[in-house]
Amino acid sequence: MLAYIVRRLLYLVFILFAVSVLTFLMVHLVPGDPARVMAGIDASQEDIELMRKKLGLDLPLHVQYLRYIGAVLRGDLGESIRTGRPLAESLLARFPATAELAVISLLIALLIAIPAGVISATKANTVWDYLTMTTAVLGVSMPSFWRGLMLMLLFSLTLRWLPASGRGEPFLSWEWLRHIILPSLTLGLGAAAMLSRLTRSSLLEVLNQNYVTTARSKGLSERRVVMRHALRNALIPVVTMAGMQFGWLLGGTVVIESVFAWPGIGRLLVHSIFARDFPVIRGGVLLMAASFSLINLAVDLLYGLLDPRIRYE
Amino acid sequence: MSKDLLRRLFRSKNALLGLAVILSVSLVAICAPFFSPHDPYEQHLLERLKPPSPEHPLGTDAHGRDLLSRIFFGARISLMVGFISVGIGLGIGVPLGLAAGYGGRWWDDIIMRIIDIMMAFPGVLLALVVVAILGPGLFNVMIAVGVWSVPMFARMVRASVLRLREEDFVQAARAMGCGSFRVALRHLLPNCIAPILVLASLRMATAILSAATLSFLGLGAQPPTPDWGAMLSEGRKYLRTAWWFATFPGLAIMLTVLGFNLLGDGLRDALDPRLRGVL
Repeated sequence: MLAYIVRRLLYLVFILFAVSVLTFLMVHLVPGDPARVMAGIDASQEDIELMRKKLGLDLPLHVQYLRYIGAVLRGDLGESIRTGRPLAESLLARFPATAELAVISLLIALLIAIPAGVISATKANTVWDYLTMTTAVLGVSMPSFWRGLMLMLLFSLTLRWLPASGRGEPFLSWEWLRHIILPSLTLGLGAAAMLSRLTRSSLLEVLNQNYVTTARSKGLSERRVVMRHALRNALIPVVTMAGMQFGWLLGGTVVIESVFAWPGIGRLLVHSIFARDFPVIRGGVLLMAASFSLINLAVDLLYGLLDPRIRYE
Repeated sequence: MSKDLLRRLFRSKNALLGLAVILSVSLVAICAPFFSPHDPYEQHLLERLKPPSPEHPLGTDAHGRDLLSRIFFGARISLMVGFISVGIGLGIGVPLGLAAGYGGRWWDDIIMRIIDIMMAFPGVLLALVVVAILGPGLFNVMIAVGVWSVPMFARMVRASVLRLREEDFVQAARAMGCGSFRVALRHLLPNCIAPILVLASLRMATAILSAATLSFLGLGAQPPTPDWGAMLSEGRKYLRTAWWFATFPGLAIMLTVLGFNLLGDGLRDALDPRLRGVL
């Protein structure tokens, strides 16, 4: 196991290095002169040259990368062209908002998906099963931002129960809870649709195994067989998928933050794409990809701990 | 596809329902000029934000344009984006998967590392990076969503090839003197068609959703193009006063995506039930 962890950590370093090269090259892959693109359409030749010098675009490519990665490793992600503020500061200020949205969404997804999957599997081919799975396939097919708008239309604009935008302060207060419900429900319902389908198929597979038949033949109640014997094993792939979903939820926050004016990294990224503010795009993408890779590593290790049958070659 | 497979496919109610939805949306897309009650671009400022009525069955938008007609024309854009971006994913991903699975250790290592790097970007972020580089626009969105599909196709084809390459028919082809290129193209690829079809259908659903997402963010189709995502983006501004404006384009996206998801699930169960859980 230790060798596996070391190997995976080394691999993580490689992936992060590659992601840093890619995000670094982003500026250079822009069609045309990147200094001109970032200086804006009204910029004079002098402004463009100043921008080129400021971003170090006049230096050889490898020197530019070494300067960039050196600064990143020191925690300096550069500064925003638009606001001039240090990037690390604004990204770190926004990261908790994005992370809490992803975490709460995942919790909502699990709270809905596991009971729905269990009901569907234990009552397979009944009305309950069809109802749950039809809802799930509709949920998978629904654009998340549209679900957000519809929830906003119902709960904010019509019933006036919940606020339609922004993040409530302080953290974990009543206002915070009221603000996070709609965006996290929007994201969580999409993930729940996927996880409930997986819970159902995984539980159905486990329920056909010999040890479950043994448990039944011992005279245990069906409830005990499902909850104590079958579900524990059926949840292993669900936990893995939930971990992966967490990464996807991080990506999903990009659009949901824009719908609900949630002050996270995703919304900053979208704004920066319009403003062609490449240092911010680079920093935001690097932070999200690094978090995603770390989560994937954690999920893989967790999978090994949960299922001792898995051998690492 | 053999008769047996078609029979199995037609036995799946979900697949049939999916196919019916896709055919209906395709028919609407092809015959949009005949089905549409109004010109999708024609503005009538006196008719702006009118609720559904016999004249405008789904209401009008902020420029007084008929929403139903714009949704009909929007089907063309959504299907085109889906087909082109899945085509890009297939065109690059399948050869990469074949090369990784059958081209030897060296190719496998290089290709799979590239795929791993692409997979390090969560969700729609990779597509967002491509749009950030190329700039907003419908064409760039198709490329972005296509690039995002590449790793999925490559991984799936590689996994199928790894399973197939030890089979007797591949060994026999090699023994008869077939070169690697010929074995990959004539013997391995035809046997990967089932999972490719399933993934293509499911990726069509994802591609339409992602393109709508990017258009919703303002990074895809630009006004006055009747794109469903862009219509939703405009409709959200009037959510309080004109609920229909943001509701119906969303329903159109959901219905189309549902069609591809149902067909994908049905195809998977009919063609290769072992893929359940993999795709």
